Amino acid sequence: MPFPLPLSRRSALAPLILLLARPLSGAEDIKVAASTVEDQRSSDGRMGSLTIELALSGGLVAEVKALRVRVKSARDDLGTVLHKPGKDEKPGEFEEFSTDRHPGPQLRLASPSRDASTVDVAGEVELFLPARDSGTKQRFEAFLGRLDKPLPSPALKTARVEITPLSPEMYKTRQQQNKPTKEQIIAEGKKQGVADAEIKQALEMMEALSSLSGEEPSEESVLLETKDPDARIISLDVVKRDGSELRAPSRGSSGGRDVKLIKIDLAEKPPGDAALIVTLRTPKSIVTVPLNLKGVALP
Amino acid sequence: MNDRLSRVLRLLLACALAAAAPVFAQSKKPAKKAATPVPAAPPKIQVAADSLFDRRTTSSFPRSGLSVTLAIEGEDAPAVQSARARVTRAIDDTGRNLFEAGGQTIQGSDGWQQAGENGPPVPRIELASPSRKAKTLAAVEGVLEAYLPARDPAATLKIERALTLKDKPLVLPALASLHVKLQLLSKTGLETEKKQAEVKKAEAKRKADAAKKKAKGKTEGLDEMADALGEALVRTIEMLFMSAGENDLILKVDDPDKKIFAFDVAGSDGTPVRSYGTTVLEGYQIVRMFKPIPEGASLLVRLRTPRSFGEVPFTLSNVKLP
Repeated sequence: MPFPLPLSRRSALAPLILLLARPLSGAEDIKVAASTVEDQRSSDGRMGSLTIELALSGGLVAEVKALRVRVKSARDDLGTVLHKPGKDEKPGEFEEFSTDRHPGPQLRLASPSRDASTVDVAGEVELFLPARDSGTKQRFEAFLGRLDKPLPSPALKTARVEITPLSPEMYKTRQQQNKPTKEQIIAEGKKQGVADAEIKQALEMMEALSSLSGEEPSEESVLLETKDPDARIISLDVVKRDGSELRAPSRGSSGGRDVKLIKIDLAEKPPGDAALIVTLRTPKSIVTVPLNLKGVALP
Repeated sequence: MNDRLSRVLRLLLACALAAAAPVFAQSKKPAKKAATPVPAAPPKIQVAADSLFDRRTTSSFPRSGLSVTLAIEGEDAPAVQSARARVTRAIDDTGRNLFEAGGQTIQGSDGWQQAGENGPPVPRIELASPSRKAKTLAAVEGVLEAYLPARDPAATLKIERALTLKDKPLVLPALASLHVKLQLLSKTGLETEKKQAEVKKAEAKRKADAAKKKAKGKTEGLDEMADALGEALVRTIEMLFMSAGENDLILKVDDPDKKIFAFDVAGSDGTPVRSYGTTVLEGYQIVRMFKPIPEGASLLVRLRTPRSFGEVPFTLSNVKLP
């Protein structure tokens, strides 16, 4: 049994205890709780899912610029397993985070039983705190002056990342090269068990939509190709030489980690000496906190 | 890809697209002058629950709700080109009332759902959220409204070789008798429309300025109003430019009495040329086509006639909740 201290002494020691208890990493400073819960139930079993929005609290939350949720187990109170990781499942992408972003980060699970009342979820949340490592920001000056060649950078190389600013011509060529063929779509549809009629509709829709304009790059567009097998890129931003922001009202991308084509449409034509800011996650910039949701009430 | 495909398709087909459907009946004669309307017998169709989607959330917006997609079956089902349903009563097996008057938001601007290549339309009804403890929808009662142009030859007006008639008013007595003015537009025609709209805008501004001068400033806001109206017209045409695809059919439509229900396209042999919806912009409509319209195609103007519409009451009982 611990030796009891008089109340007044305990109060006096409290700040000291708090100070000593605070871990250097600050990880325990951030708490993760369930916010909005959405249970989408469909008579077509393929469509149902349970989504739990996460609310982060604690002094360090303002430092968090991106995060990734990794669920280890999830069950409802009737024992239904709501998370079955695939055999070769890779961890998901980091998503950008800020306290005023709505909806907040979410985790998606399988549909619980209709008779269930609550769910439990365990896992972890990886938080990206760029302020902890200056190596997270890489700046490439006048990058628009060296198109169609990968940006030379030891930091990118170490992170196994390749970024190539593209000319409009090369972007269009790459678009054509990366576009799935009809045969690939049919094969993928069949693999996924999609009905022939639905595959046919998807093909027709794709053809019809490709006839709409809007995909063409303009002179305000910044075009990039990235290769990022470990999903190390957190964000890509274009700034003026003096570091001031170049607003990007719309962004589009296609492809995956192996090769991704990115079109950043800026509000104005970028000056020739614009710089590219690449934000990368590094081991020092990641803090992992536990995810332990118990008895989350189902709506 | 499975889920995504289904969702993308459902979304693309349902979102913001109104009227226009590929299933239709043919009519070789232009619509006759409407005689005394003959009340049509109710169509031989039955309504069943096709699928249910129960969206349950702790959030207040968007709030929880139950969508029920309906299947149209029966002898006349293949002839149903468009359908919509309205609910009069709905309860789950715990006794909770799921019917919210005025709370039924259905697809399209007016709730009409069009037939697809694979069969009749699949209209959807929106109900309040059932109890989590509920196992079934005990009862849903309502009325299905169906548009069956095949039941009335006067409901379809066929314009032969429509693509050769672009950029000039379609002069047809049947249209004139309905006070309908129709014109097919090419991209060049659309450009002319835009220029005309700009001229109209300038003219309206000039008139407003003159009126203001005449009234010695007493017409406050008149010029701003004229400016806004002109601007809106120019913007509409710009939007048409931006959103019209290469294959799409652009129509300028003046239909003060709302006589037109939808537009369809048929090949020279009468085969339906499939579309995936119609976008309606002030005075204009874009019929979205999957593929280029074949040469010699006809435009089918679907008209609202009493005999082409039918109503069928329906009741769904003990439908299992997901």
